[in-house]
Order: sequence, then C-alpha cells, then structure tokens
Amino acid sequence: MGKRGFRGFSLLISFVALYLFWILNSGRIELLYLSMGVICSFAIAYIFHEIFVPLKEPKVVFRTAVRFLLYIPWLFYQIILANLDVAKRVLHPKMPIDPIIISFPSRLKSELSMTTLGNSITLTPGTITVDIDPDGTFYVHCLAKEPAEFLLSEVPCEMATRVGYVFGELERWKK
Amino acid sequence: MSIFEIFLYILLATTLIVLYRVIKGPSVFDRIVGINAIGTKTILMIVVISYVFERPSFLDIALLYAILNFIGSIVISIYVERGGVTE
Amino acid sequence: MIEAVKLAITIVLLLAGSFFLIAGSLGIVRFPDTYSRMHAAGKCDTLGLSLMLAGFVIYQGLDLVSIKLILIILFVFFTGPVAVNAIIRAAINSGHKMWTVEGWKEWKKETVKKR
Repeated sequence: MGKRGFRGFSLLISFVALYLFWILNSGRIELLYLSMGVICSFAIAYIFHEIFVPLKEPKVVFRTAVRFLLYIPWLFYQIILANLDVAKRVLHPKMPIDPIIISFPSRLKSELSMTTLGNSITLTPGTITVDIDPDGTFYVHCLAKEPAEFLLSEVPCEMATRVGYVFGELERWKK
Repeated sequence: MSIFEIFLYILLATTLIVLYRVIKGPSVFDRIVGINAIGTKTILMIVVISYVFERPSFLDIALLYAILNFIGSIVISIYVERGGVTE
Repeated sequence: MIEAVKLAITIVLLLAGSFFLIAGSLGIVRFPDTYSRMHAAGKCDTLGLSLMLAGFVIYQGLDLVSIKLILIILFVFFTGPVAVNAIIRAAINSGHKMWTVEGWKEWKKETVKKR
C-alpha cells in the first residue's frame, strides 16, 4: 500500500464524513437530495481530502482519532476549572489579577499538534496563546501567577506532553 | 408562557452589559471582543426563541450565525491588523 | 416522571450556562485592558454556550434536531479560540498597550527571553 492507497483511504473517509453531514443536515431521504449530496460531497472531498485526513497509514489515523477522543474528557475537566477560576476573579471585589506574557518551548513538530495545543491553552486556566514560533515556542498571556506556573513547571508541560502523545510525537504523560 | 422565556431576559441583560463596553471601549480591539461576545449570545437567543415558538428550523439560522460570527471576527481583526485602522 | 427529571436537568444546565455568561459579560466590563477582557470573552462564552445547548440537547432527546445543536457546540468549540487568537494577535502586532501591576507596558516579542 503506497502513497496512492493512502490517498484513496483519505478520499473515502472524508467523502463518508461529508455525506453523513449532508444527510444529517437535510433530514430528507429522497432521491433528488441524496444524489445532490453525492455530487457535492464528492467534489469537496476531492479538493480538500488532504486537509481532512492527512496522507498517512490508516492505522496511524485511527490511533490519532482514538487518542484524541480520550484527550477530550481531560480537556473538558480543565475547561470547567478554568471557567470557575475566571468567574472567581471577575466576581471578587478586588479583582486579583496580575497579567504577564511568558514563553515556553513545547517540543511539538507538526502544525496540527501546535494548533491543537494553542486552542487547548486558550480554553484552559487563565491563559491565552498569543503567538507560536515555527520551532514550537509558545507565547502565552497569563491572567495571574498560578496559571503561568502550571505551564512553566516542567519543560514539555503536562498539556504539551498530552497533545504530543495524541499525535505520536512525544511519550505518554507520567506523573 | 414557556419557562424558557426567562432565559431570553437573562441573555438580553448580558447583551446590554457587553454593549456598554462596545460603545465605550477605548480601543477598536475592545469593540471587536464585545461584538464577538454579542454574536455568541445571539446564537443562544435564536436557539431559545426556536424553543419558545417551537420552530426547529430556526436552528439552521443559529448554525449559520455561528459561522458568520467566526468569519466576521477573523476578517475584522485581519483588516485592523493590516489596514492601518489603529487608534 | 422521566419528563420532570429531564426538565429539571435542563433547567440546571441552563442556569449554569447563564451564570458563566453573566460572569463573562461582567468580566468584559470590569477588567482593565483588552488582553484580560479576552480571557473573560473567550472562555466563559464558549463554556456558557456549550452548557446551555447541552441542556437543550437533553430536553430534546436524540434526533435530527439535537444533532444540529451538537454541531453548533462542536463548531463553537473549535472556532472560538481561533477567533480570540486572531484578535489578540492583531492587538499585539499593532502595539496595543498591556496592563500590568506596575503600569501600562508595550510588549515586544524580542523582550521575552527564550527558555
């Protein structure tokens, strides 16, 4: 199975996903709508399939998908903590904030994993990604000292290690 | 009266709070942040209205509004960054 | 009986969502500078919207309508941080000043030392 096989797999997966999306959104099972959906989703899948599903071994793609699904519950827990923290700081009469911009190396390599880590950082405790260098250095705006410590405590921090594990770039996070 | 109408008033109140920042906001970026937040609340308002009037087809409009809100924020921030409309 | 429990869960989720939305709106008004306002806008809005829509998903049960609600949640979850990041990068690159405990400062990338 060479490069050609990967392309066929990527095309198939993205076509199936797009067609499912079409059917769920139209909600009608009639010949006209179904055939229009086939044409539209095939055209879009043909143009954009490399972006939806990267040209890699199917095994790697499935592994990434499963690990990503396992990463989401941990992220959701962190998001709830983040919101309680921000809400506490907003509603506190003195507003205990101390903004600072820090930088830390993440040791991630691909653009997809850096984007995922950037989005996760924006959603979690008191931190927003400002900029990312191509070598994986993150610039992060922190609302106070404690969230900055969370990112600076170890060199690939906990979140970066977890994201790197999802995309097969770093080892699994150990306590 | 549906019980969901209460949430319409809550959403209206939050929108008015943010509107203060949009009108007053010292810089153009405060206004963009405020507009983005108001867009999120508009999505929710459309969903709540679709449940108050029991019209599920309004949800398509909410989905479209989410897409427009995202593209609008991106386009305005890029325009301000490169177009020189800084204050 | 099940209907009543469903309605109760829906109301609780809607109230939790409105709490976060109110906190986010107050944060946008109370915080001193643009960057810390983005913290309130980017996080509280995303979670508030997800909680309220999750409440409606439970009220609706699983059918085509609730799948549309789930699509809205997913879309906002993936695009909300990107929009906030676009705004904050525009602000940084145009030299917008940042509030710290010591006073207002302009931030440049070169001033942060790489670790």
